[in-house]
This record gives sequence, C-alpha cells and structure tokens, in this order.
Amino acid sequence: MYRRRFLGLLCEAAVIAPLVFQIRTASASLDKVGVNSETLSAFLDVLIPKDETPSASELNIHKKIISHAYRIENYIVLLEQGLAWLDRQSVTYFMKPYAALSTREQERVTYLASTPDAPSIVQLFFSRIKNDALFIYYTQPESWKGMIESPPQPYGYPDFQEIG
Amino acid sequence: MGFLHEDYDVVIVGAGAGGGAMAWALAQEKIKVLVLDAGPAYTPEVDFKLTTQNWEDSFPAKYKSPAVQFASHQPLKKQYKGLRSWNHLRGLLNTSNERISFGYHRVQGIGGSSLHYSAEAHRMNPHAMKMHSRFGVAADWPLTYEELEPFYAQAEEMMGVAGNSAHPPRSRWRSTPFPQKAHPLCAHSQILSRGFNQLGLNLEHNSLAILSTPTDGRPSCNYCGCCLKGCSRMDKGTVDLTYIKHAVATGFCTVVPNVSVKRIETGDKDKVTGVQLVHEGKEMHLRCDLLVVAGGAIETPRLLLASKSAQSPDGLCNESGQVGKNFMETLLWTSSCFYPQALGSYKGTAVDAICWDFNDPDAIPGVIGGCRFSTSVAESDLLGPRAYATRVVDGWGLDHKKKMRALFGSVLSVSGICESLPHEKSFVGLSIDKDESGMPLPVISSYLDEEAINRIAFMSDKCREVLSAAGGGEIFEEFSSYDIFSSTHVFGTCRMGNDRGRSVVNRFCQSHRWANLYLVDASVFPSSGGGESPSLTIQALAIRAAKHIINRSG
Ligand SMILES: Cc1cc2nc3c(=O)[nH]c(=O)nc-3n(C[C@H](O)[C@H](O)[C@H](O)COP(=O)(O)OP(=O)(O)OC[C@H]3O[C@@H](n4cnc5c(N)ncnc54)[C@H](O)[C@@H]3O)c2cc1C
Ligand code: SF4
Repeated sequence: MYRRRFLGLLCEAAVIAPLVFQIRTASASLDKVGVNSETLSAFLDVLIPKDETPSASELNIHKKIISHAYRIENYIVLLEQGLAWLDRQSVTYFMKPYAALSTREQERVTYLASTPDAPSIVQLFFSRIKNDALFIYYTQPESWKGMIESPPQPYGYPDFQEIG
Repeated sequence: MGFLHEDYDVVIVGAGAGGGAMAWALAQEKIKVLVLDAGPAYTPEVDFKLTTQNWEDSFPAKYKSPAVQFASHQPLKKQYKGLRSWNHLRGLLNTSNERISFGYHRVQGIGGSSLHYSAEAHRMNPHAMKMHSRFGVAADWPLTYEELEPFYAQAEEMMGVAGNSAHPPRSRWRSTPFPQKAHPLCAHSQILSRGFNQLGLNLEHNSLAILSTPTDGRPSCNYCGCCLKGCSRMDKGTVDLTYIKHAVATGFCTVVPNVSVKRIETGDKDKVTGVQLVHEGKEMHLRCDLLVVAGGAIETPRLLLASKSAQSPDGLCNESGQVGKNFMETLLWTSSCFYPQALGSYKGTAVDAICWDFNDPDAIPGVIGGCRFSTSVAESDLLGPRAYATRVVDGWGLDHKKKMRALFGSVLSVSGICESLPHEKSFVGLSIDKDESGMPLPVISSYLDEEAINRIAFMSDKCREVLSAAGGGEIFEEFSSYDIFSSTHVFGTCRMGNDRGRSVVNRFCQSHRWANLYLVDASVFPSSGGGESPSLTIQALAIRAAKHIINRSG
C-alpha cells in the first residue's frame, strides 16, 4: 500500500474502522441483548484454540475485544447481535447455549456463522471479530512461538542472507 | 518563544529533506538560520516501537494528522478489472466503482517524511529530465544532471548512502564512489533475483541511506526490515540525525518544532517581509529577510495559495498560474505471492534490491515514461505475525495456527513504480474547509489518463511474471494505484523552469518574482522520473539553492 503505505494500513484500518454503515443496514430489525462474555470467550477459543501457543482466552483476548468495542461506534451492537445468534443456533441444534457445547459442536455452529448463508450481520460479526481477535492475539509475544522470538529490535536479523 | 526576538539571515519552513539540507548547507557557511516545523521532534529510542510488542504498528504520528482532502472520483472501467487492488481474504480493497483515496502519506516533524521513508537514495535518470523536448510531455528540467552531480555527492555523504560503486544505477555517472559499501542482498531478494534473471532482467543492489559501516556516532544496520515504522537503531539516514544535527552543531541553526506557518507576507519591491505563524494556539508574526519554503509538494502550494494578497491576487508566486498545477504522484503496482519454502522473507532492509531496466522514458513499449521494480515485503508490511494472521493466512482454529507457523516468512513481494506525468485534471487547490488555525485545507485532484493506466498495466504484467519466474506460488494480494490513490512521492506543483510565464521558480529554486523567496522540495520537479525516489534529488537541489543564496549574500 505504500508506496508504499498501501498494504500496511490494511490490518490496522480494519481494526479501528467504525461500523456505522454496515450496522445500520444489516441490523435494523434486531434488538439490543447485551454482550455475553462467556459466549464471546468460547467463540474466540474456537477461532484461536490452544496448541503449542495459548488459546485466546488464556491471553484474555475476549476482555481486550470488549474494551476495544467500547471505543468503536456500533461495535458493541455487532458483538451483542453476533453472540446472540451463536447462542440461538446452539440452542436450536444442540439445545444448549454456545459456551456449554463441546468443542466439536461449537465448531459446527461457528462454521455456520462463517458461510455466505448466514445473515449479513452475522457474516460481518464473524469476519470483523475474527480479524480483530487475530490482530490482538498476534500482538501478544506469547503467540509468536514458531515464528519470531522477540520484537525485531534490538537484535535485528543478522542471518538475513540465509534462505530458510 | 525566544526565536521571535532574534534576527536570522534565513527562515526555513519545514525540517524535512529540503529544509534540513538547506539549513545544513547555509549554517556551514555561518549563515544564521531558523527552521520552523509544524510537527514535533522525535526521539527514536522512545517514539519508535521496534523493541516493544506493538512493533507491527505503523509509523507513530505524534500529532493530529492534518487533513488533506481528495476531490477526484474517476470512474473505474470494466476493461481494467485486472488492475484492481485485492486481497484473497478481503476481496476488492476498493469495492466502489470509482477511484478512492487512501491518502497522501507524509510525516510532520523534525526530519519530515524521512523519519518514515524506506531510505532509497536515488539520483534522477538524466534521460528523464528532458521529457518535454524529447516527448512533448511535462517540462524539461532547467538544469542538467551534470550540474546536479556534485550536490548529489554531498547529499550522499551526509546521509551515509550505501551502494554498489562497481555497478552504479544505469546512466547516472558518479564523480565519487558511494560513501558506504552496498548491503548484501537478503534471502528474499536472492530468490527474487532468480526470477528477474530468468526473464533476462537485472535485480541490483539498491542505493540506500542506511549505514553498512558505523559512521558519525551511528551503528550499522542489523536488518530488522522495519525502516518504514521508524528506525529506533538510528542507522537509517533521516534528516534529523544527519543534516539537522550537523546544522545545529555549527551554532548557526535554531530549530523550533510545533510551529505552523499559515501565511507569507509581502511588501514593496517584490520582497517577502515575514510570516504569520501559529505556536501553541497563538498567532504570531515573524519578520524575515530571506524565506525558504520546504513543506513538500502539497503543503508548499497550499501555503502560497493561502498567502494571496492585493499584490498577488491569485496566490503568492502564482503569476504564471502554475502554483498547484502539474501535480504528479506515486503510481504503483505491487504483487505478493506465497513461496513454497521458508525464506525469512521479513528480514533485510526495506528495499534492498531494484531493477532499473525499464527506467528510461522510452523503455516501456508503446508508452512514454519509465518505471522501476523493487522488492516490497516491507513496503507491503508483510513483516510480522499480525499481518500474516489478517492478510495472508486463511481459515480459523487449529488449522489457522498451523498454517501461520508454516507460512510465516514464506512470501515474495515485488512492486513497480512508474513515471507520473502532469495532467490538467491533476492539481492541488484550496478547500472551503479550514483547519483549526483558519488556514484552508489542501485538496488533491488526481486523474489517471490511458497512458498512466497502461504504465500500471505494464508493471502488473511484469510483477506477476517475475514472481512466477522466481518460483512463487499463488498470488494473495495486489495493490494498484489504478483504483486507489495512495501517494508518498508527490511532485510538480511549483515547477521550476527558465520561462517565468510557465513556471514558479527558476533553476536555483528562487521565485521568479519574489527574489528573497526560495522553494526547495519536490514541488519544483518538472517531471517525476521513472520511479526514482525523490528525497536525494530534493536534498541536492536544496544544497545547490543554498549555494546560490550564499553566493548572492557574499
Ligand atoms: C512511507 C514513505 C516512504 C518513502 N520512501 C522513500 C524512499 O525510500 N526514498 C525517497 O527518496 N523518498 C521516499 N519517500 C518520499 C520522501 O520521504 C519525501 O519525498 C521527502 O521526504 C520529501 O521531503 P520534503 O522536505 O519535501 O517534505 P517532507 O519530508 O514532507 O517535510 C516537510 C516538512 O515541512 C513541514 N511543513 C509543511 N508545511 C508547513 C507549514 N506551513 N509550517 C511549518 N511546517 C510545515 C512538515 O511538518 C514537514 O515536517 C517516502 C515517503 C513516505 C511517506
Ligand atoms: S532495517 Fe536497518 S535501517 Fe531499517 S529499521 Fe532496521 S535497523 Fe533501521
């Protein structure tokens, strides 16, 4: 993007962009329900589960998303509506709220949210929260294992000429 | 506020490449200089984040970025749908049917945009300095490469430019070797050069204002790749750490941050008499004997147009009607793809390799104006896990995490930047909207004609061919100036020339009418070059203009 600043802006732009237009068009008929932080935490752990690096909840990404949400117009509404939809689908298919499902079941409901068949607000919820959660998660040094060991300075990359 | 009560020989507006080089060249000669800049001073170790977990953030602006409006709504054509910007996870980056703006990118501060730049230090291709007499486009430079060469050498010395003296860039003869030896090519560039070679093209060492040997109390580079985020190590040659530091050390230069000049005042006998400035919310007046404006190709015409008076009803220096006209911009294409092997592609200086093979103005078949190609992982900000997670790696869950580790550092990225030529629909004007100080905002109008689009198309074809020839896999992201205006190199809005009816300043960057007013930034460029980065040329022009001032006053 540059040319230089083209592409660099893309990550950050998405994270801080207001949601005014999308929410208005997508959610006109939906009611306010409140952010269910248990559902959010479970949802983020499905997107970013634990393996050799921590899960999203171990790094408190759900809390960071909620505090981030208060700074962006309509973000809370998006969270509320998206999480409520996950819970409704969970009850419909498995008779339990999302947070109470097995990982397998959660993955199936999450998959529904990720497809073009989901309502537009849910698609927006899925792509935006996923993007922002990944952005915040990969800002945490605990997530960098297997990629980089530390911030680029003060050591730099003395091996920069080596392929591999 | 002490600076208001002192007398200075020269007042300079802007502490970027032009203003910094001018300040240094004058202060060396014991000319008392005051440099004013609208932005703050930066402390690299404190302000730049490369040692912190937020190192992937983009360049930290320490001030409220001043607004620049964008007025063009050029419709996009179906026939050029292959030239749109896109990302494999996000789709089109501009989903509308007209060209949009991602902005004019610069830094306000002591050091100006050099704090943020990639440190490419290019000389103009002499063949691209006579575009009017050779091709009937743009305007000729009223000076030759030969005249500029000694000033290029001084600028390179000051900035600590590293380059390959055995193979200097095409057609630019040199009177001296590069002050620093070239940086070795990073792994990514080594792979990419295989692609260029396959196509019979040359990927060479780029000349960079980045130290390869510790110099002037600054260390050599350790190849972290983050030049655009602000170099906390201070090996990158920024204007504050080079020109400004040495200018201040002479005792003849005072630098004052956070001062905006909102108007230039004039008097009798075609003389500039002073400036109106704003400091900490207060308006003040400063008298000046000689004024140099170095605000960049958007802010300089803005200030001149905003300084209109009874003596200059169309704006200061605008007798020719050329202030704000002839706007030229960065025309860019970037393609990025996967590579089937881990490369550590995020390592190395930002742009260590360049291909000049199409840089001559007649090098692209069927189009006037050249281009260059260079490596662009850093300029595409494909440097850290955050960028990979949100732009490169698809999916979610365990699969996403596994792919993150497998793909990290396994991408190739190549960009082209080409000549931008003046067009009557591309110009900088004033808005009816004003900033907090009451100064009208600048408005950029930008238009791409068929020639410009054809140059972009040529670059897109070549970038894709190079990636494929280098063994690259699927392309996952492309960025194009065709559908998104996003400019870091801006030129032409106060063009220099010998004919006062068709230009704003003369061959020494001195106003044709106001003899004690000089403009030293890329606004004076008569043509943009075929993708050359402008900062070194701005510095060389500024040092040359300083010599003119010194000779005048001596
Ligand atoms: C991300 C990025 C990467 C780049 N990479 C390269 C590169 O690799 N090589 C290269 O050669 N070029 C590069 N460039 C372009 C280069 O940085 C600029 O062309 C060059 O620095 C311009 O210098 P300048 O002095 O004309 O303007 P600037 O550097 O923009 O400085 C102008 C200064 O004037 C001040 N100013 C303006 N108006 C006023 C006013 N009214 N009152 C007070 N102060 C004022 C501003 O605050 C600013 O500090 C890059 C630019 C960017 C943004
Ligand atoms: S690559 Fe070198 S010049 Fe660029 S930021 Fe890192 S240390 Fe500084």
